[in-house]
Amino acid sequence: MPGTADTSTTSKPFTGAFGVIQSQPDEATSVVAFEGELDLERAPSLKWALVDSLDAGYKQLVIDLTQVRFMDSTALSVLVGVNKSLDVGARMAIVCVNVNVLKIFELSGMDAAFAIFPTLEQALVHVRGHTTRIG
Amino acid sequence: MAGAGLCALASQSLPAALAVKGTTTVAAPAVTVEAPVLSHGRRAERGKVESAPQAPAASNAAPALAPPPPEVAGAGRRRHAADGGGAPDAQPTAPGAGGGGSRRGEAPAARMRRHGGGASGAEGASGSGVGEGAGTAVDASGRTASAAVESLARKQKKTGGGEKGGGRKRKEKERERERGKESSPPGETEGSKGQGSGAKGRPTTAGESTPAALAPAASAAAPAGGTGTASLVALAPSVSPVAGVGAGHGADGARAGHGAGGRRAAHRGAARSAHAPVAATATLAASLAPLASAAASGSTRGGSPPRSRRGGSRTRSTEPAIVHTITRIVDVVPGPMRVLIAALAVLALALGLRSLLAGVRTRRLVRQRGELLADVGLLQAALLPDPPARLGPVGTTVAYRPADGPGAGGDFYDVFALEAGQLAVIVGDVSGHGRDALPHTALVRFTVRAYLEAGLSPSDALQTAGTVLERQLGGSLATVLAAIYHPRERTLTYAAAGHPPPLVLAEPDAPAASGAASDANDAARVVASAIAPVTACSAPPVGAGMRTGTRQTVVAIPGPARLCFHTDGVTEARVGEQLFGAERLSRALAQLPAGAGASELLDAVAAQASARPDDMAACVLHVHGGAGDPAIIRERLELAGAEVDERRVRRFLEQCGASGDEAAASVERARRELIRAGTATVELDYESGAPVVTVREERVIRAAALSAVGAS
Repeated sequence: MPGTADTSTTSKPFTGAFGVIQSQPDEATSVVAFEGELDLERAPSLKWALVDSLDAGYKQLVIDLTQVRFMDSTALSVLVGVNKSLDVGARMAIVCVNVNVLKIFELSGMDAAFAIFPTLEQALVHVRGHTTRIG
Repeated sequence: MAGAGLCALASQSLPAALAVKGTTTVAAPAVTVEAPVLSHGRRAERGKVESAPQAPAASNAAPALAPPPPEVAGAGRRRHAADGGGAPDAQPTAPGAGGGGSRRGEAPAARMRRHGGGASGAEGASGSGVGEGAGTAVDASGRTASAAVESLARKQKKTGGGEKGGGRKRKEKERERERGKESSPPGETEGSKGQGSGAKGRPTTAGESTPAALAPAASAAAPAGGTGTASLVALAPSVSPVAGVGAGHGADGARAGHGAGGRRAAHRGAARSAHAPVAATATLAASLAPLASAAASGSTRGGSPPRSRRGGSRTRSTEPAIVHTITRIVDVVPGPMRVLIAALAVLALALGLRSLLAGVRTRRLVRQRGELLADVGLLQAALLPDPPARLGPVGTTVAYRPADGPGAGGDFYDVFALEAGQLAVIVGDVSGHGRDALPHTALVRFTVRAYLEAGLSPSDALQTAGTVLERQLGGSLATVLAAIYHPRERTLTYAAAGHPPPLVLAEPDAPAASGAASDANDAARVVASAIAPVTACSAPPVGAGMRTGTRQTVVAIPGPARLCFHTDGVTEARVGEQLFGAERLSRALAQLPAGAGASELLDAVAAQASARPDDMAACVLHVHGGAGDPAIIRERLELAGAEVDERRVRRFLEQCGASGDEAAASVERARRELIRAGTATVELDYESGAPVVTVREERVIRAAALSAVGAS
């Protein structure tokens, strides 16, 4: 996993909205990390961060929710919407370890729709592996 | 009124005027009377002076007046004439007149005092119909005049008593000064001007002391008069027909204090003048004297008119002074700076205007926002039905609380009866809030309701509705929970589409068992009795692009129980950093007093929560009778397509209580069934205690129904 090791060094993290950190480990992958609570108020910033990444041409999207303590149905619907709008060949993965958030995914039945991984490395492997297979 | 009074006055005083004209002598007796007049303010003094023969007073005053230089010659002449002609002539009547005058004078004086015009008593004492008439006129024309007069009288009172004869000029001067002072208040600037001109007019005429000459002076002052002085001066013309001097005197007399001239006195004066022209003449002459002296003093002083004018000009010069200062400052400022200052001023003005407009706009927007939120709330309330308090054997209560901030809308619920006494409950939440959510809210609610009423099971209703609504929700998600309570079987069948499962608790023991400890134990027992729903493999929300309505749970409710259907806004309310959660909600439900419902439950949640970022909706059912705690008796999971995550299915089976081996075997069976038929149903039956897992091909009528719905 050379790509994984590069993540921290090659990424150019910048902060968009409060608690949103975007980084690009490579030219095809965008990692959007959130922290705090993804609720009604924050859902729009989540949406725009993801939409911006897709509009910028990134085909591999990793949403890092490791630092998210809580997520509500509004944020969930944003994730669902982004997942539905993915182009052919694009891939999305979610990094999540928080039990509250995992429970939201499970309770909403959306755990079936998303590829959820406990670590960023696994998520990157998932999105890259798919792309390399297709490419 | 005033006009009428003046006319009356004029007509009344006319004979007197003629009489005066006839005599042409005006006079010292007047002067003698004048002294008491001025001293009238004090009753004691007046009493002294008046009760004492007037003659001495006259004689006192007369000599005092006599010495004055040529200007006063007129007065002197007048005095002389009065002495020589008027007084002796008047003498026969004078006693009467004098006596009557003094008596009468006292009466009006008393009245005057009451009305605030003390000095006119003097005129009353002099028995002058004219003077009193003037008093009436003043009275009629306005209080301002009388007020002015009063102050004048007061001033005179100060000087009046002690001063006699010799003090006359000083007195007159003071009066003149007083006039100047009176005229100085801003409102009466014009009046002062008028008086100034009046005063100016006097010196010229004073020497001659021609009545006719004085009249124009008074009348000249009249048009120029302000409000207060106008009334004073206004009576001058009215009196002037009496005699030129009379006019002046009228004005003067009024000034001297005809605050509230007794009309009766005027009548009496008129009557008297009619009865005794001679006496009238004498008294008139007497009453006119002050004017003469005023005129004389005016001419004597000579300096007073300018002073009064200065008083007037002083008030006027304040404005120009400021303007002048500004002009001078502006002159000093260099040209470019002027431009700069002008530009800055324009800028400041523009900014001020802009902030003003912004403020107006802000207020308008705030108001509109409030209105819109109110509209949303109204619409939402219209969409939230008010079900009957009891449906069959089940007590039902519903409640809705909008979120703390903007975001009202999206939550919905419905409770209605089905065939065979069944009871259906729908609770849901459309993601996205506000107006956009409202049509979707109604759409989802009525679609699900229609399928439930058509006889579909909750999961089938959700699956069908999900298929139908997928295209219509326009990207928004809807979480829905549909449930049917069967009263005869005492079972609750529910299916969720991305929605939190209901809480089902045993009804707490009768609240008669008092004591906080037992209540707490009871509550704990009740909370422990709550069913533990299986969350694995939950069906996704409507609108997520996935098949929903894939899970269904049947709960047996053998005994009394409380059921709570809610939206995630309730469990996602915050308690500090934490979520309110299902556990707290269970406790709150268990601790609800008997008879309390959804509204009280949401109140309890709101009381405990530190923030409620989302709407809250709750529906609480009370199931009565029977015995035993609620328990899940059936769980069902539908699988479809090739992309089934076997780990999820295994987790579901394990959560349902199946052993590891059984779970693995079931997953394998399901996988094979999926490959064979494309669909598979995993069902767990708890009726006999341990779960019995069955996997079968899902081939029910619903499939046909679904395809039919999808095709249409």
